[in-house]
Amino acid sequence: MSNRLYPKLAASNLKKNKNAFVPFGLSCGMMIAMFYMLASITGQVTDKMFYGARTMKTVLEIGVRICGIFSVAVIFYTNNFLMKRRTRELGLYSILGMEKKHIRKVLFWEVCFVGGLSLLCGLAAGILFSKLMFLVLLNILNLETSFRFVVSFIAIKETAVLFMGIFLVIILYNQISLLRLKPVNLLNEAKAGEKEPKANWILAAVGFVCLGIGYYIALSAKNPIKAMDSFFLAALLVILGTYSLFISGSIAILKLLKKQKSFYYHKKHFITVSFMTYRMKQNAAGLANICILSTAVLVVLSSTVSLYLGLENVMRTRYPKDVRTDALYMPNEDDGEENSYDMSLFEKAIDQQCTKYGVEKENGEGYYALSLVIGFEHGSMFFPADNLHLDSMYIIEGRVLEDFNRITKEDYTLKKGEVLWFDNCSNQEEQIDTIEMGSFSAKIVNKNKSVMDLEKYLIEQDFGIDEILLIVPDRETLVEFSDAYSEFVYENWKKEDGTVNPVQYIYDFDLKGDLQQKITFCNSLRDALNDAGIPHVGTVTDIFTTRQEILGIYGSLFFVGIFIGTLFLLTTALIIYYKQISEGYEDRSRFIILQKVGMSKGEVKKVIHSQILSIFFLPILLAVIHVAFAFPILKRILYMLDLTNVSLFIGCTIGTILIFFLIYAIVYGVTAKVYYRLVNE
Amino acid sequence: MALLTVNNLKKIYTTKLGGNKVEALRDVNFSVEEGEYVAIMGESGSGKTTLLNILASVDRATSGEVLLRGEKTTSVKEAELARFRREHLGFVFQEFNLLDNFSVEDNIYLPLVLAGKKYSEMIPKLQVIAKKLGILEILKKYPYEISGGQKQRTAVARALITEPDILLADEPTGALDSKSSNDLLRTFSDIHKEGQTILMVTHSVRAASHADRVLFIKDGEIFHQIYRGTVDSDEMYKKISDSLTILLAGGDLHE
Repeated sequence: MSNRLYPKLAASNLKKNKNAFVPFGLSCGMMIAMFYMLASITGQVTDKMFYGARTMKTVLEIGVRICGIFSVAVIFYTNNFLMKRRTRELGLYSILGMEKKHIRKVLFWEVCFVGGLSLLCGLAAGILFSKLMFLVLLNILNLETSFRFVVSFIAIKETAVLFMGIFLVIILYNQISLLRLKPVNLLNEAKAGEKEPKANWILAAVGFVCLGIGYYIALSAKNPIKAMDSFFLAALLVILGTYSLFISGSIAILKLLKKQKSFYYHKKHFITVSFMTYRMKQNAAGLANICILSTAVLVVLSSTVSLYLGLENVMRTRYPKDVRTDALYMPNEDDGEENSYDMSLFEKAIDQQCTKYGVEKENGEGYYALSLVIGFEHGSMFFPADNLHLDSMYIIEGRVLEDFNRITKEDYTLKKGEVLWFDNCSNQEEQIDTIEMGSFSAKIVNKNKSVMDLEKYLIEQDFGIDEILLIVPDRETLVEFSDAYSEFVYENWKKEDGTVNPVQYIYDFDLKGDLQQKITFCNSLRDALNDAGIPHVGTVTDIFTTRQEILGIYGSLFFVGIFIGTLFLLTTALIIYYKQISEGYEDRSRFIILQKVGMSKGEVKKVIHSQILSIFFLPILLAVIHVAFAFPILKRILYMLDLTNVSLFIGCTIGTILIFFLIYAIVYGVTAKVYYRLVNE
Repeated sequence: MALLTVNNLKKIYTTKLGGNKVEALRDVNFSVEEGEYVAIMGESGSGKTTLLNILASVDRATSGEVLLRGEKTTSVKEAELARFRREHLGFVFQEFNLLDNFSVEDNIYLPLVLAGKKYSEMIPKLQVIAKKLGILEILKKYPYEISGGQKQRTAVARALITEPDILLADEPTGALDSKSSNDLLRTFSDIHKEGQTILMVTHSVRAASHADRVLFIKDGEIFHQIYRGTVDSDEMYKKISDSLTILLAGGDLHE
């Protein structure tokens, strides 16, 4: 045979099988384009760009890697599918007298054509759109768009090497699978008829139980620290449950439907129920994969989008005011050293600093604060020494009456030995009227159990743990309480760990002025406070530098999230498309029989649509249910990341689901069309 | 009035590019009386499958008409064709055409379900037919679990359960061994005795010898027909063989 024949033959094969090859080439091209874009953008991010660039670069690099790994998996899966479907065609070649070495050459050329074309088009599209995506990234990060963006030859090389490598391995893989091809088996491809799938009730029940427990854990996880662990456990159980439900639960349900004779023997259900039983047997694992992939996409996208969009919310939760400074107030520990503890020094030093840097201070607020972690159960306090008590763990925020009245514009009065109690606890039922902890005891004169607006009291919400606000008469009582706590911890835990929290004086304020000025102001603020003679200066942090850093992380997470979400979606669409197409071939003969027995074309179309519809939307529907159940626990995890805006998260989740559905529906439309054509050929 | 009348039926196939025209049916005229058992014989390519497809309203004739109980089937609207077939015609195919994902029972129920019948109406019908065809024991089995003869009897049951005006059979014994063929033909004779009209296309002399009347089709025309009269099937077999010999000889001369 002439050598020019093979490329020709390969080209005509591609044309003939365009239903299978076009999506393959398209998805390869898209993955190549996305990989190039991500790689070239990552290459252009330099540390000098902005404050959080280094962390962002790390996130992007991880994104590039995930993108690459995913591409490998998807291309292999698709190729595998194509090869399986074509064994018959290849068998025919060998029966017609082509030797394996000839077929090998044809296969080689096929991959060369598809791979080469998709690499070229993908790179071209990548180069074309990478600038746009770079601008999108800069926009996400609120950066000026003046950065120069150039075509990255390194990224081109990386992309070409990776994907050429993948295609090479695929060529090798196809050669090997060709070796195993026996034409005899293909000729008498026995239509043995499949056994009717048996419902495995035990597995179905296990699935339901796993899903139930997983959902319960997700719903009942109260403590955000535990939420992380619970989340993984719940995810694992839900994954297990999803698989067993799809594999045996679906068949069990269909069997039950079959037993309802008057339901089953109905024009609308008869064929669908019966076909679906077989469908589920072949597709259960694939559908479960799709369901889990979709759930992952929805969770990743909705949370990264919310984190990004909720950045200001995160910042404000972390920083009720722009700048926070504090100093420890511990007159008992000074060991003879005389400290004045004149807290008005804060204001003076800061005002001086403001004049020096040309910025303006606003809403300055100073107050004493004590923040403790405590266990609280059956009305008594204890120190939670282990994770077992996480659910009864609280944060106690101690404040002095004078500060409290000033900040909240209230007018409470307290005598020595009395305290005010506020909490935002959801599950605190015990009625107590005194606080006892070691040597400290006080009477609660006003117990306000209503959920309070913590921000109003200048309290940060740490990790979303339930908080108790205690108002004591003066700062000396606060110190007493702190000391009692230290003793108490030592007695209960026999360990003097870093858990002892002293009383702090906190001074919060907002800043007005030029951003760069504000940042230089903040960078030298600590020295200014020390110089002013304030003892034990503690934290000096500001929203400006942190914001940039967080924006770098969340912005790049969001950016990478979009890429990986798109990849996931692409994969899902591909899997489902190929599944439907391969079934189209199988179902053809069945639909021909149905038409012979007296089914009209319209009825066939209806049956096809209801079948494809259920195959398509079953996994997505379950994925949405998964997401709905995961919502409370995700909310808590985001809480831990200081995102407290629940309605934002709800909005992002719903938005993501809607977009997902939209894209999915388009894939459905295309697939249904191709399927119908196959069946009706 | 005859149950089925075929007048001047003509079918011309045109190749896709519009070049060649092939005349599959030239001018076919015949009729089938109520309760008759008619076999149509002919070689491959003689047009008998085309004829059956037109009778089954799967294919449209180029010209001419088919009347079922005086109603023109050739002018039934496309949208109503499926219903028409379901209500008036029963089919038995060479390849059985059972759905492998349905049990025997469900395969038989299929046309009734498609017609929107209630389950309670369907049960007694199935019982009667399954008993008649001797497939009561295999109702719960699946097509891959039963023999070819059983499959074909299932297909017959599926065709008869709607009580069609006419049973159209396309080479019903074509995929069966001789014992199963004989069983099936006996079944056909039995249901014919009960009054079922049967029109069978075959090239098996054995199969045709069970019919009341045999039509020979050649080059798209009814070439010859013989009636059984009072003879038994062995003699009928001989008569058909003789006719076929003439038919073949004529064919040789013709070429």
